[in-house]
Amino acid sequence: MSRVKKISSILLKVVFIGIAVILIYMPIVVIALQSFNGSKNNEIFTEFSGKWYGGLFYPEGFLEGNDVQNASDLQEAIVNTLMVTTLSTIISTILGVIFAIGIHSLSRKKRQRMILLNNVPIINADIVTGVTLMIVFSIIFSELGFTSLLLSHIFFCIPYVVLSVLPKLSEIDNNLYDAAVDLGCNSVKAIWKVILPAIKSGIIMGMLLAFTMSIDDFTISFFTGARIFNNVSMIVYLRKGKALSPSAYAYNTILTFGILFVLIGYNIYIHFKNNKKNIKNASK
Amino acid sequence: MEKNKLIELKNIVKSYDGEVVVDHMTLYIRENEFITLVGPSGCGKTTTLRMIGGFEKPDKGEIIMNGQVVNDLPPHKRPINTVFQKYALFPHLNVYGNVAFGLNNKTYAELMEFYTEEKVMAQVAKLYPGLDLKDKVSKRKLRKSINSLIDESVRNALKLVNLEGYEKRKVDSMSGGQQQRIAIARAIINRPKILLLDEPLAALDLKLRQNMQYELKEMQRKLGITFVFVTHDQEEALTMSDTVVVMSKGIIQQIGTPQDIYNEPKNSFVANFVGESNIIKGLYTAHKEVTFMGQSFECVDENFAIGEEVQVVIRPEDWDVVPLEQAKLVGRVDASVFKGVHFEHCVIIQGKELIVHTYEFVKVGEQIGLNVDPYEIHLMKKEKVNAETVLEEILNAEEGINKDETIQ
Amino acid sequence: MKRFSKLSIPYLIWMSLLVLIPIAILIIMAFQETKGIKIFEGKLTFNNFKVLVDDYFIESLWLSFLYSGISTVCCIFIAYPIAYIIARSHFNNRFLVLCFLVLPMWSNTLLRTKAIASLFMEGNIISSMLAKIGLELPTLDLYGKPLGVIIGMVSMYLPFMILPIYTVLEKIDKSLYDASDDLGANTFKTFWKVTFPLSLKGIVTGIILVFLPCATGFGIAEGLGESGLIGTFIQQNFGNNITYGVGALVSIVILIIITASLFIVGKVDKEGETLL
Repeated sequence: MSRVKKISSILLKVVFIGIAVILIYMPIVVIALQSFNGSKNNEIFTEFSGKWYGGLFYPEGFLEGNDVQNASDLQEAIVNTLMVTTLSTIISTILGVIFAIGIHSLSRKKRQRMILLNNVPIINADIVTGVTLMIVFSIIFSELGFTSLLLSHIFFCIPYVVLSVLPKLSEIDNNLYDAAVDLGCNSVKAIWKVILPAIKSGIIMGMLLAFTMSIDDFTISFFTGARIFNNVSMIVYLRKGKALSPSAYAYNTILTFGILFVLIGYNIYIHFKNNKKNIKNASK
Repeated sequence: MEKNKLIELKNIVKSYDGEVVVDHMTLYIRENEFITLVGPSGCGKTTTLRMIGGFEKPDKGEIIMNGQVVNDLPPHKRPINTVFQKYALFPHLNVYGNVAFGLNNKTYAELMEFYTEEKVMAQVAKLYPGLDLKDKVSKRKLRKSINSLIDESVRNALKLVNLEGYEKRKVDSMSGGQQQRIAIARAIINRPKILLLDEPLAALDLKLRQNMQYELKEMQRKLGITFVFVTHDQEEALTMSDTVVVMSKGIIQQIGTPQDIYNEPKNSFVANFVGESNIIKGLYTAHKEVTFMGQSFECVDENFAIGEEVQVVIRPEDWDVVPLEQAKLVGRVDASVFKGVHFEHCVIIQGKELIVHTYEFVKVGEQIGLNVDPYEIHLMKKEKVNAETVLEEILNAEEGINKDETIQ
Repeated sequence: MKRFSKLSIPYLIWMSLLVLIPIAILIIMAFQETKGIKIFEGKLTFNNFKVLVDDYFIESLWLSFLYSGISTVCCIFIAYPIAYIIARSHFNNRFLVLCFLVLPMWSNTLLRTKAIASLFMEGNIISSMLAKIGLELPTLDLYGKPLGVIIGMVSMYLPFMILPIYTVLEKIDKSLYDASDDLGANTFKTFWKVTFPLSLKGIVTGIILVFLPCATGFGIAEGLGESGLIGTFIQQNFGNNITYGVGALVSIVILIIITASLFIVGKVDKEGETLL
């Protein structure tokens, strides 16, 4: 009886996990398959080919006809995307950490109010955020484009950094800063030498989130400048059917799995480093 | 022998959000003494410590060092270092890094002054034998010599706290007692004039705490620097200190040696907070005579008017149990608990509960006869508040301590 | 660290500038009938409000809520067991779970939507590959159909439901289960009386993270062949039609709903723990 129960419970688990994996990962598998398809017609699989990957870096060498133009349009959009994402990730991480330290130092009531305000861009519908930012930026700037796009990305990335740094700040010993000041640091030095190292993991987490949100954004970018300064999402949205170079699938696959490998590698590295230390300590 | 005053607090007032935490406090701390601020949580002791350390500024009053008001001097400019409540060790540095932190933050010129030129030059001579010291020694060599001096200091500091050989360890892999020693080493390496300790033993278990009490006292004697210690544990305060400052509600209740505080409490708060006490209403009936519970007793206090109402303080261990026929007071034992070394009896005399400590077992329900020697009777002026409300306050305060701990 | 509270002032200014002021402008625009942004020139008018009783508007709002509501409910029913299984299994490595859930987010949303859409149409890469080894797949034919849209939305937003629920479940003190056991509750009762109430916070956050973008986004729905939702409606007013007044008004309607959700989040999660 209990064996039947056990097997059925395992079966149930497998079914649920299976549904989730299929639902979440099916599209990624499809994209990966399409990126290796020799034909530019997505519907028909002809043969395995790496030409779309080649076309990503050197369209003229790997592709022919219209494909060359499509791929180099895509190239431009990728460069734009990476530029906006890199800059907004760096800037929002720096600002987010500074603001988080500020918010953490507020009294309880004020802090909760600031967190509420901080959550607005996270919870707000992208479309409303996009529209409101467009209104402000079209008043400030004569034309929407790179600058407005970058600012909007910084705007919606900072809250994620703040939200991942804040819990780390409340985790650390309240007296850590005082201890640093007591031992000869001025306030800037105390933050740099003691507080930042102590909240490092939160900063990395926030940076990763900012990157994730920025690289994949479509709706907000649509309103705040991507129509002029095209990014990848915009190209995908605008180009229906064959006008979209399948190199986009290649780009997407590289990006997804590239980040995954970097993260897993980093985790393994940390794991090994800790292990080594533990062994060293144990042998003492 | 009167020692020099190191630091003086004059009429210090500090409040948070309109709530007065330290109320017109005046206190001075002398050279080479072990002074303890003790009181229930929320009595302002930690705030006082933080003002001495420079982490908080007083709203009113002056903090004076060497004849100068130092209210606005930041912590790193004061010759004072702190051991924090939960140690506040830097988690990203190893033991060595933590201990060396203070010295590493000093500039070249500060280090030169710290070690004195003479000692640095001696180190240069030691590191570079054959070098002619009359010539100008290169900055690099000086720096190297200073670094080796720092290295020596770190090792010495760790030796002092019995942590030699732990330099490369991560701080979070150390036990509570070891972390505490690191925190002390990290502070004393800077040779402060005053070391502030904010409930440093609170997180340790009983056995370890008792050992550390002894070690801290030893360390203070050896180093010859002033320790300002904060605790809510009255026993700890009495064990370790030269001077005890009992605080409540931001006001100093009594300053004195541990013996003074215990034997001659100034008011019922101190009497109750420092050890257990029986506080009984009495009347000063004649010179060196007090009457309570219907009996008159000889006593040693003199500064009372005849006919004045007084409060009589008798410590539970000061009662003498005597045969009933010799006893001045006779009561019934209502409850009895074995406390390890002694028994604690709750004795009812004329409807009033008294606490009596004895070494002998007495059956519950039996009669007991009590006497008390003249020098064990302490008299206090009658206060407006009666003892019971004070007791209640203390109980509340103790609950507060527990609450604090759960919050943290 | 009190002295650093000043560092939050620039953030307050920045957020006010980019959150509060534009909302004020949005409100002004809702009362004007202008093409483009000319807030100082337009005249006060209530013409835009006609749209609120317009059949097309009402239908798209209703349809958005319907699709979004159904998708959210589906997400809860799939996400909860999964979060529960992961949180209570031995395989409880937070880093790997996060990777598993965040990985799809590094993949472009629109591309993923296109990929799903292609699976719902006749002739796609999977069926074509399977055909090569002699397997015939039936055509799903769900493109533009309600079921297809819902499956697509669930696929896109499922991680956003799993994540907060998992976060809350993982934080529950394991000794609570033992305590409940000890006090005589069976597994089901323990779940219903202890685990579930404690995880409500995560569900609320999850609902907000799934429902709102589902209801208001336009990229995913359009990619799945459904362009009758409120997101598209706003986008057209601010895009090709440049009837900004109407777009602003509809945005305000959505904003009111979002403000309500913000307050719910503020109530259940004051320090913003479950949003990540």
